[in-house]
Amino acid sequence: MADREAIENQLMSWALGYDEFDVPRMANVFAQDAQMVMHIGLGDNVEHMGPFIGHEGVMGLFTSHQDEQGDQRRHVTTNVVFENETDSTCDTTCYLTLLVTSNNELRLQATGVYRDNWIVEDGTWRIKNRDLSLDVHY
Amino acid sequence: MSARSDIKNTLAKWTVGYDERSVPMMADCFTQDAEMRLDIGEMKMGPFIGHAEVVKHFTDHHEIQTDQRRHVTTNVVVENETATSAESVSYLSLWVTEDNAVRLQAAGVYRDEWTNAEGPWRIRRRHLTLDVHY
Repeated sequence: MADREAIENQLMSWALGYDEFDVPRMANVFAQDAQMVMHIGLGDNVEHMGPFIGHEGVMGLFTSHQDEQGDQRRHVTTNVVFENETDSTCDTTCYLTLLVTSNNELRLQATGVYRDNWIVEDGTWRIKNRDLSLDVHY
Repeated sequence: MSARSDIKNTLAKWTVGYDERSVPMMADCFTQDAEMRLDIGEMKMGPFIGHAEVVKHFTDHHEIQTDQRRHVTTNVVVENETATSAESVSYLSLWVTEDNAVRLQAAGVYRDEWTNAEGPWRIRRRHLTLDVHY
């Protein structure tokens, strides 16, 4: 059985790491051979990004966006579903509610779904594959 | 594994099942003798009685909703837990994306009664109170 508390903690840690510009915290959540893809939009109007390959490739996606985004983001992460649990692997699905504060105004930017495959690497649960589907652009 | 962990997992599983239109995923969250009712202000809906009727209530709404819904579920309180039963109260924030814009549609409270009589923890009774219409 997977360690649900540890995995949920890592999901929240990534959000905190991204939003607080804490790169080491973010980096600790992804495996060395991680991959990530993104899909933005609904129906027939979906933009695909990636795959971003390897830990460096995935982190590069995050840090390049942090360089461009002058606002304060909060990746509110909820509704975690655990499936296919073993002692060393697990799949999760969870919701993103992306809140953005800019020029003293708070707005809901997007909602979406993370689908993650987890492994235990060096004793820590880490994301091996992340698939993010956003309902609107971020 | 505590009941709380499995109950949280099933609460989330129902939302993903509904929002991603996965009927088997949604259906697996309710017992065969499940019941559900829904209050929206003075408007009362249900009770929907039995697994088939509860699931039909959801799939009927799938037929008429063309937007993308996200039933964000938080603030889970688990109470009156025994080896075979439990109750939970949780909050719903319903976000809807339509025409490339996202809006907050409604807030509400789920009050659920749980049993593991069929193996996994499943919802035996659901009472949803919405603060505004969905």
